[in-house]
Amino acid sequence: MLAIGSACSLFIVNCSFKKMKPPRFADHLLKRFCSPDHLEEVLGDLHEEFAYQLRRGSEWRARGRYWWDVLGFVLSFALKRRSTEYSTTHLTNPMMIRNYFKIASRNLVKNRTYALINVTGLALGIGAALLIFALVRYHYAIDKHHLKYESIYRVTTQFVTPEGNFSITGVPYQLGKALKNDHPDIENLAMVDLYYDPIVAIPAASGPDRKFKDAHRMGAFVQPSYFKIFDYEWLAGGPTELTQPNTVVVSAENATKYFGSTQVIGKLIKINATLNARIVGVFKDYRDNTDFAYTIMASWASLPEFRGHPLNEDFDNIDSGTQCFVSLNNHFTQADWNRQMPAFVKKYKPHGVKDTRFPMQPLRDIHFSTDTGGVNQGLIWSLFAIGIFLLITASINFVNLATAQALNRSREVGVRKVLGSTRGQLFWQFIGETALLTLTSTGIALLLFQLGQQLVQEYLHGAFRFTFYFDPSVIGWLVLMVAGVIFLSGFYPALVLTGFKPALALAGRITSRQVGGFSVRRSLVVAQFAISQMLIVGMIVVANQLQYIQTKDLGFRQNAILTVRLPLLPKQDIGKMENFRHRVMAIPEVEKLSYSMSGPPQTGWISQTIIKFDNRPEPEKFTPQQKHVDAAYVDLYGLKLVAGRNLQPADTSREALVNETFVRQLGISDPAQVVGKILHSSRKLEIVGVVKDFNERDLRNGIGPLFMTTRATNYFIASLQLHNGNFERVIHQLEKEYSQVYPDSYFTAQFVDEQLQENYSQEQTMAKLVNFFAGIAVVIGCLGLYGLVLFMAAQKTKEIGVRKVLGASISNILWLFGKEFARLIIVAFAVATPVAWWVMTHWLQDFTYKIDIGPGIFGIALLATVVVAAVTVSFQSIKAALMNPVKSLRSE
Amino acid sequence: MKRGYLGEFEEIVLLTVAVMEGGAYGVAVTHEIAEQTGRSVRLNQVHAALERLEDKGMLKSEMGEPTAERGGRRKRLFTTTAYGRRTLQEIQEVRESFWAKLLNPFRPATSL
Repeated sequence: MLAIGSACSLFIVNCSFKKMKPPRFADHLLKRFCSPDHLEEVLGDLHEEFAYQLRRGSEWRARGRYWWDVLGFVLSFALKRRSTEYSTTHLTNPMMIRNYFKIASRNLVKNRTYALINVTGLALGIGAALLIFALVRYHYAIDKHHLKYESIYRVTTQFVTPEGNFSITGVPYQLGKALKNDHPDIENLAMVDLYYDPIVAIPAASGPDRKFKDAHRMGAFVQPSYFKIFDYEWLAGGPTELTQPNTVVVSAENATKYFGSTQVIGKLIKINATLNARIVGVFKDYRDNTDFAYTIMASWASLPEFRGHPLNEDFDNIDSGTQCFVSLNNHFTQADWNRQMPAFVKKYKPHGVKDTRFPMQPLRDIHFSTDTGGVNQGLIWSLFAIGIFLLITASINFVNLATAQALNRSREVGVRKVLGSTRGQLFWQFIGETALLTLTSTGIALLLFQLGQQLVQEYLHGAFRFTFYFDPSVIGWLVLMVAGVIFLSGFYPALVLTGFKPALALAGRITSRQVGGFSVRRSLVVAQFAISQMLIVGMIVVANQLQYIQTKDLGFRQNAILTVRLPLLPKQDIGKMENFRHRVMAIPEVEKLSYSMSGPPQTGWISQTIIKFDNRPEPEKFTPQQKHVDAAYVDLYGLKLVAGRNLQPADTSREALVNETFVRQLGISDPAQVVGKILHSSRKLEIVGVVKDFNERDLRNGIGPLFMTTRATNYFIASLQLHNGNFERVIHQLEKEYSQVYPDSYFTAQFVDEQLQENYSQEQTMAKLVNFFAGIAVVIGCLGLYGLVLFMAAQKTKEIGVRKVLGASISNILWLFGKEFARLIIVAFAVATPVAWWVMTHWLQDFTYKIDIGPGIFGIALLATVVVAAVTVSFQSIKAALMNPVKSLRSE
Repeated sequence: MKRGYLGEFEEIVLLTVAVMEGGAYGVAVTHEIAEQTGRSVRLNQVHAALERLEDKGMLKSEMGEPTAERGGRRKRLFTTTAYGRRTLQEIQEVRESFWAKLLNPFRPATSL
């Protein structure tokens, strides 16, 4: 009976015990710190005490008490490990650590070359990878600082053409009003109108106005709600008054430039000699990277005065600088808009139902949309991939050299094992050694990063701001990277080393065959070669493609043509233009002059319009671009007429030239048929000729339909055909003439071929970066190869000696090294070729005009690897082959 | 008269173990001390003291029976060694000889 009772009570205790267990994490902590021979009694006491406390008070108290006790134990000396006959010296025992350091440093000093190769490779790899990370992060962090980042969209215009869709960033002026009217649920909506190179004049009480030009900057006209969408910090004033005309807000930097202070509310400035505006706000300078760095923003209500005419009411004239931003919430989403867009287009642009769309482009996509001037994401990702490759190659070096050397350390491992080291202990010892080298390399890498960062900043002309060091994600990435490298490079060698059987190791009976790493090492070298080959193929393809699109015949003359920008006025003064022409033509080097809206190479400023052809009742289903040019344009740029004649000189629009694509789009095959027909745009124009197609935008896009007509008030550039001569003097002379004709404006001149280069500057920068980093990867690969050959030569000293004694020639010996690597290169080539082909074909798809990836490119890549490998290998192998066999054999 | 040095806390722990006669282990000693002296004693302090005393050879220990409360773990039961007992005795003797020499033994401090 008694026995049953006690069993019952035990059972009950058990139950309550199960329900309320002491904190498990505390137990875990204790297990880590407590010596195993004490653990049982201590844990037992703790649990008993816990049960006792539970009976006496609340669970909460008991737990608190438990933790208190456990911490007491953890901190106390009571549990310090006692050496009994069974306990082992712990890995972190200071004595062992000292020993590890000593052995590690002895090993490094003994194998200086390998250590140097490893550290150099890792430092290069980590430094470059960090730089790449900074670049990738720069691109992905753009505009992320806006609180509404995820819900901001830009409404763009998309034209659907048979050749594919074509997007521009702009929208009709009236789109904002219409959208707000029809969809009041849109959270915020703001129209923005951009113009290049704002010129600001500060009216002076006496003397001439002071003038400031923001070269390569953009000015904007904005609606006040713009500041509800994007976040700005105000140092003075604010955007509230931007509802009125003739008001403007400026950045702190600009305010300081104009007035030497940021307290400039109420001051007057004059923008582009046209618009008087009162400063109503000063905002803090852009600290984070942004695509919308407008330093001066005037009110939208001032725009008609600035343009010199009321804003267009129609939906046909679209300037890429007239943009519409919205921020959305649950009441109205992008999906809602996509559903309602067709009805909207039908209402406001009935003739565009088939070919016009106004899609919303998320802010996060803007930086990467190549069709609206964004960065090619593919290139960024290829950079990232190269970064990973860099780390892998550097790690492979490490693994190769470490396993190759493993043999030398087999005795050490044997002795340690006999003296009682466990495998885990040895493993961590070797990982620790790897970590030591990696951390040293990381230190050097940070220095390299510092250098590289300055280089890259120069490449990108300061567009790339480093807010980098203060960024927790950077630290995270660095830690991740270093840990990854340590693991990648330390894991396998440690595994190999710790796997030695002590008896064999001590008897010296472990051979390189038993290290087992031989085939692994081979496959690693193959991987390295394959990566190098892929990178080389990539480099060649990128370089060829860029070369190709830059030198491809664009269909117009580029040499020795200088374009001078006319002031950005609502209407050009025809008298002044004539005056300028006379002065310019007086310069002997100037052969011809043509005025036009823009040159053949477009610079983001595209004016498109809806047209009707001949007596077709419906507007055409395509929207051609219109260009205003004078009669000299065709001749100066060497455009070829395929039918009809050139334009007659005129100041207003009466005649039109169209391009071949235009004719094709009309559905007419013979260009001659359109000559003499009428084209209705905003005016009635007679088509007098057809020009051969030429590329106006870069070669990433195809050729769109285009018509050209005269209209003197809309000319914004003067193109000058120059003779050979001293161009610098000509430009100087031009500047003098220009400032006399246009005292309110600044002189800007650029050669057409240079401007074309600029179109590809982004590609070129990226290509340079890709080449740079790929080059580093190849160098790291070579370093590893060199180390490996060094090791092979050392291993084969005896073999070479014996062979030489038996009559082998030097070339025989060289082949001993060569055949091994030749085989590996061939295997690597077989792996690399299809991958590289696939990746590069993919990359080229972005281009309308592209090169073919022929076998030649792969041939060159193979040749390059063979040459690089041969050069790397030959130095050591020749040295080994030339060695006197007496020396190598005597030492036995 | 040489003996091992004992701290005040160690002395109490040693005494407690002697008093508990075979039933002395960590938690029990802790509770006993807390009860007798009214001090708040931490488990790890007691463990440390027990261990030191064992090192000095004044205590010896063996593993006892497991209980459910302890999650099936055994107790370490401490008993005093002859050396331990003699040490306690010597301390006691030293104190008594001092007390005996006290000319004016303390009276309870009632009138102050």
